[in-house]
Amino acid sequence: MQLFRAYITITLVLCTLPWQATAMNPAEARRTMVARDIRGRGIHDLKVLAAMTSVPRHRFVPQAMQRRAYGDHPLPIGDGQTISQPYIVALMTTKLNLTGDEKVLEIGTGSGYQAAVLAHIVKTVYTIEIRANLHRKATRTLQTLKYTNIHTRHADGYFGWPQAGPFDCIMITAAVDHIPPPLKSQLKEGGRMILPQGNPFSYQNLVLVTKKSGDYFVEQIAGVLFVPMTGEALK
Amino acid sequence: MLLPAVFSVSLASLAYEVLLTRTFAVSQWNHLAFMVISIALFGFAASGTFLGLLDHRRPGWVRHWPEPAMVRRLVILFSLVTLISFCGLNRLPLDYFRLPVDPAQALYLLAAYLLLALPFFFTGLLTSIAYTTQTRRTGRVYCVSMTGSAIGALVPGILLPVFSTGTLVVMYALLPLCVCAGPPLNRPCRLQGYFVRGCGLVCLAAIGMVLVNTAAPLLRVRPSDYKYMSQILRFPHARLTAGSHHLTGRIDRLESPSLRFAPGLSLTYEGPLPQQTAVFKDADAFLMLYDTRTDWPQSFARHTLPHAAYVLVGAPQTALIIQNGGGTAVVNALAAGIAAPTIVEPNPQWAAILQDHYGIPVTTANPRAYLNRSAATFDVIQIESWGGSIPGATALEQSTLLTTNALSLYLSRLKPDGILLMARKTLLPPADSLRLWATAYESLQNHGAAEPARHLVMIRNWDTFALIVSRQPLRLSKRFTQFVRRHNFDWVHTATPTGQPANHFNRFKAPYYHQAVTQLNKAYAQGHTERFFSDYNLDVRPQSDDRPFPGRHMKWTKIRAMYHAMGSRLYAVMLSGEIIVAVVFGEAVVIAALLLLVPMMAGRHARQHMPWRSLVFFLAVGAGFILVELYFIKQFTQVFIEPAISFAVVLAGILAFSGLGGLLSQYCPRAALPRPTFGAAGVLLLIPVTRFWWHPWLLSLAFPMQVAGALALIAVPGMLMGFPFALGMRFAAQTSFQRVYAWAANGCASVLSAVAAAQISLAWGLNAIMIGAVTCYIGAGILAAVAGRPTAARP
Repeated sequence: MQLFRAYITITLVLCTLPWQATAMNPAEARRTMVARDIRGRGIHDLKVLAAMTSVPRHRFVPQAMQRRAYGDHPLPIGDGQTISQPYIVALMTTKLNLTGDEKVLEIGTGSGYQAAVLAHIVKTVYTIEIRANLHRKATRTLQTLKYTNIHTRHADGYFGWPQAGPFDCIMITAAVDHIPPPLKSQLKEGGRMILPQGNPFSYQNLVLVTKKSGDYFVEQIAGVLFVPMTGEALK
Repeated sequence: MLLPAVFSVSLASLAYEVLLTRTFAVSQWNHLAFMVISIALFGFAASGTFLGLLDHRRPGWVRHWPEPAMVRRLVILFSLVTLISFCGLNRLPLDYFRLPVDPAQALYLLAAYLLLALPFFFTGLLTSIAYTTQTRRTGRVYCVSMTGSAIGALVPGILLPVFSTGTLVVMYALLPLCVCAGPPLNRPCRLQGYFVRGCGLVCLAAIGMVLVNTAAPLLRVRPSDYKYMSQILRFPHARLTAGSHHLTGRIDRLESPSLRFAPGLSLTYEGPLPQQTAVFKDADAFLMLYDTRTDWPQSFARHTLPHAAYVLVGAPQTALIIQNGGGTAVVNALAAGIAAPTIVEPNPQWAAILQDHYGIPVTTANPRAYLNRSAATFDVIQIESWGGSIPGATALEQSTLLTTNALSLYLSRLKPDGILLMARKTLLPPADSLRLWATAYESLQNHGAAEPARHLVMIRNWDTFALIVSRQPLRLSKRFTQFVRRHNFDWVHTATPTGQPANHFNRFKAPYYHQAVTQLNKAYAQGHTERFFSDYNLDVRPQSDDRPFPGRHMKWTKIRAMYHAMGSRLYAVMLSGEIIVAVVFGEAVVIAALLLLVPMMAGRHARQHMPWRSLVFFLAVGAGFILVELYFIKQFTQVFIEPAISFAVVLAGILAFSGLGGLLSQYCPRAALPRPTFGAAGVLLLIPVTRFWWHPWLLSLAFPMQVAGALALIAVPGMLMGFPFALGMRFAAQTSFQRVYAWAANGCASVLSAVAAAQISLAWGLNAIMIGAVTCYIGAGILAAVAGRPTAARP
């Protein structure tokens, strides 16, 4: 009986450890995440590292998922959508080569986490979400966290935000089989656009588009894999 | 009562198997369907193992189990577990793609195996009991079982347009209960028997209706969340406007403002896209219909890669669209000013929808059969084939529209300056692009082209490539080179210098596509193609009809290199269908070994052992039968295009004819056993040898005649294949244990050979499957010839 009790106690303690580690000290969890999953995987852009260290990722995920917020994997946020894994957020942000003065358009607000990371680096972020529920939640979170340089909008991101354009950079967070023509016209000369290529549940590349003198140059950044996250996980 | 029970459960279980393939086609991917159904079929073999163990403990089972009360119980259990199995499967949170990252999925997979194996277990139990207890009538048992199965293979296809999959499962699950619905008809008062039976049937129908209505959510087949249709449905304002079920697939019509399919669209195009409607087949393959009421479709289509073919021809008058999903090819032709392109679509539902939408006649036919019958020539032939929505999802599929034989046919139907065009998605490392290029090269060689590379052009944008093939050496007009430049497309291959570097607008880290095609071209020029194909990390060798263009490109010898090339993630490798086939084969070997070893090891008496010759005989006959089935299914898929039609025709035909063979075997003495076995081997050997004759003949026929021709072709081998097992059960198995063990061995061999056939077909081609089958039958014939003296069978 004593052995059984000891087993139960140890199990309970072990089960609560990860929760305590993140809930009690999210800042430390963030620093660990940045060191291990971002810098450790070859991303050295100081602005990106600083932004990732500052943004409280756990505030952008559902309550039940908070203890897993700083793992290097995507998490479901409702409406069949996910918050991208930290490495992908960092990689996409780094590849935009941001200096700090940009006006950035993000297509697919989702949880608002990517917009928050961008807001730490650039001047203004415009972000569009097609799903009303996600738009509401993300806007509330961003307002609570006092991000004043982020503008959110509930609309179809395919058509961009012509009134706010042109943009220095555009980030599309959903995979598409073609780059939406309306977005290209909202990209400044010399502007950069980044998006994932391929099915969101399988092998993917990142694609960086640069506009120069009316021509478009596409750089394909191979070898990005998104962990599958759907089915039951998305409910 | 036993034989009617065997007939009805055989019918119901085969119908259930057909319905399962339909269910999995929608709710999962072909890998998982293959994996789960293959393993579930071990239920048949497990019944033999179970009875073998029972024979050790209670030898008296042979007297009690065939009694009507026990048969009734088994039939009721069959019905019950079939319903539980289907509903359980629909509720199981099995997510194949999360297998490598979520350990719980392994448990769900195991649960799926067990759930699905149960109905087959009870079917096997009843059949095995019949073989073991009716030892002098094994031919009849065989005939009854096979005829039931043949009808079971055929009927779902006819009923699917009328009833949903779930309703049909309920119907088939309850069908065998008719056997138990009343007292036997040979009772003194037949009228009373009919009355009670009639009441029983009415009750069954009522139970069925109540089940269908109350358990509707459990019976509804939900498409996989990974499928393209599921993804689109998550967007606001997306709605399904129509749907229907067919043997060839579930068709759904979806309308959404978020549908925007424009593969190969130039980055320089800044205009709008037209309104689109998607027609999905099994929730993933789709046909996109464009709203042509405005001039949008034409303007967007003029900015896509496939439009290059029309620019190169100059002023095209005629075009042939070989439609295979997608949907941009039609608007490409319309945008080029061809008002009425010739459209051939093999799927009848898609063909009707296409014709209705654009008001252009659409021919429903196998495109190659159509071209064989028609003498028309075209300025442009476009093959629309974009592949599955997830790389690797179509790895087990093989296309006969992209073989050297097919391309040779297309080339022969081009006008002298005509262009053949194929466009697909770019993948890294280059795979299908290289194989297509090589296929076109070799087809041109067959046509007598002195320098095939001069007849080929490949261009690409950031996610799509287009291969252009001409019967004449290509001279690139200024208009064409400007088209490529203006739309920011890149050259992958051209024999004419263009002044634009490769990898200019759409940059990989290195010009991977250009380098690979250049090396392949050089290999052809220098005669080193063998070295190129064996050194390249992926299988990109061009293929003939014997090994139709496989969706897989993996090489076992290069798997480590591929693993690293794809980010050192197990998940990426799991996308390869071939890996799944190997995993399933490994699982199947372990399960088969367990099912065969356990009863042998548990046996204490000599009568509870199986002579090795008999064991190998039954293994060979089981393996041979399935290999022949799969050979014909794959061969006739080249005729019918739709695998589901081929599956139904072959299964119904072979099972019915072999059932007839089984019945005739009833009149054969023991000495006759080797003759039909060798006869089957001889006739089967003639099938691939005479393919050059019967394949074009079948292609030249109209659909009903194609079915009749296919059945005529399988009639004789099918009938001969019915003899060995039925005769073997009568003469080669002597005791009740040996008969149930033979049943288990036959079941194990069937599953193992079915899994092996998938690998053989992908790796070595279809003829290798038939060679395997012939070898099995010759081996079985030799064993039958040298086996012991004739002895009277005893239960």
